Amino acid sequence: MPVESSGITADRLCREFDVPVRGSGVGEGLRFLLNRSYRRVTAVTDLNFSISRGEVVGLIGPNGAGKTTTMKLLTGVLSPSAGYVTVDGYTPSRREPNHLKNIAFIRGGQPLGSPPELTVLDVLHYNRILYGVARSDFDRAYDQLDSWLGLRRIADRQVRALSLGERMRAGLATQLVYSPKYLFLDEPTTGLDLVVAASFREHMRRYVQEHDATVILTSHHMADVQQLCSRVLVIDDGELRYDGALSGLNQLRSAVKVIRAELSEPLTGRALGLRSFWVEQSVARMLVEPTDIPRVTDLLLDYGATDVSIEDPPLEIVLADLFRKSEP
Amino acid sequence: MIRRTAAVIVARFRRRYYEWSDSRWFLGSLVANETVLPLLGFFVWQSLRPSEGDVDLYFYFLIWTSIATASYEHHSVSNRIYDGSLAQDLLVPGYPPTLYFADNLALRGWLLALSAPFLIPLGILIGGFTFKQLILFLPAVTFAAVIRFLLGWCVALLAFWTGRAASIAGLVNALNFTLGGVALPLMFVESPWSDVLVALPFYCSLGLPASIADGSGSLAQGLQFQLLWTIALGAAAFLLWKIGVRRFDAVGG
Repeated sequence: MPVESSGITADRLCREFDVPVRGSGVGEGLRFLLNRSYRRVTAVTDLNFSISRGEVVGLIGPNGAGKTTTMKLLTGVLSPSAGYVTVDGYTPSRREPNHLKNIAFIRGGQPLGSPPELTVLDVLHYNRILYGVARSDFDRAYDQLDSWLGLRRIADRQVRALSLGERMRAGLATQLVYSPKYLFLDEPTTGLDLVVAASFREHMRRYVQEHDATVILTSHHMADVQQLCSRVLVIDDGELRYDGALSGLNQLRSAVKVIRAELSEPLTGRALGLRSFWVEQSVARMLVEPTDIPRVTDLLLDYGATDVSIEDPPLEIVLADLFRKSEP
Repeated sequence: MIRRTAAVIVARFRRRYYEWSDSRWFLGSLVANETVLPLLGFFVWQSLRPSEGDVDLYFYFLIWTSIATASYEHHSVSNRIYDGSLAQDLLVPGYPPTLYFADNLALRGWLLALSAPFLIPLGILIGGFTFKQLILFLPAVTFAAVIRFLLGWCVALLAFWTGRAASIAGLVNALNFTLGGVALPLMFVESPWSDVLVALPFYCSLGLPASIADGSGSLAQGLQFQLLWTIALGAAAFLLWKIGVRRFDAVGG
């Protein structure tokens, strides 16, 4: 039964796994056959946040940071090792049918998750029956999704005959047809081109407005986060590093600058005393504190660099720097 | 609760029905797969003991039983556990095992629909059975279908613990063949071995309905064993699912 609370709350949320470990060598192989050893790995630890009904929140972090584990905890695929989480007053890991009818978990890598022989309409009807959607509600939702996603054009096509963009549209439609109030989007624009990704964001924005839906989105594409999310949770190494408005990250961005320089000889960040340093086709970019700019530009010129300029860093680079600072 | 379960079964049954409507070669190969071993048994025993028992009738009903009880959960479900896609099923509003039960019903429906045009004329050609025998065959084959599904389901769930559930599935298939009345029909086995065989789940899920239909088996005794195995395997399936999902959770889904 749900407790009286809407939105999402995570309180001291922690998740650990026991992963099998084995040393190398013949003896170790034999020992492993007879007696397995496990090591406890912490995927997320002490996560605290609350998300109000109708909020759209970005969950960002590098690979292996714990984003997908967090999504699985929030949807109820996994249960917490410690702490608790509630979604709309329900404990997700109990997987109560009334709760499951209110959520959708959309994964970019497998947006449809249906057998390839089915048509898009088959999948829509499958979810209609599964989620107990009344025929009249289904027809209304179908018309609306058609106006957003051009559903009728692909309705009688088999899943295997859809392009990736069409598959994403169909995947979105099959998850939205039962009007979930909570959407968990895990890398939803993976593999989509710029036009389709922009269209996806537009559909999501409309859905959120019309249904007052709560959305948690993980994405490596900062455009998704910037255009959909007013708030971001930055997670790294299983811990929450930042929880706040996207504009807060933008302020962090203005506190540092990017120096761009054409290199005439190989150069490393260490030679310049910098940690955030990237080289691509002899063009180097480095993140520098404003007070450090004169020193770094002088050094670059000493090393024979040309075409030195100073820019505002894109959000991706700010985040990469943030994650780098958290490394031991 | 019952309405929800019924809705899940209807939804899934429709889905699989449409899915396999596009897979005629796959379905055809499954029908062949279920038919070839009983046919092999028929040819062997027809040559060895042509005058003993009603070999034709027994193997005819064995083919029906094999098709009507076909179960491939030890492949399909264990693969979903291995590749993590079971997580999708956990988020369906209903008891997830009902999804696989409906899958199983849809598959059997297709296999029966495809094989009936061949098997019904064959039955008329063989003859030698009464309407009463057919009626007695029905409850036995229904229980057999449940037992074979539960047995396959339990083997599939071992994928929560072992990375190679297919090897156990292979063992169960071999036991079905040898002890289920395919390689060794009960009419050719002497007591006390026949008393042991008749009590095993392999025989209860394959040979028993055929022996009841051909008149050599006892319906009352057979149904007792079938009921016992249904309860025992049902309880095992329930527990294995409950503990297995907890383990799936423990290793990260």
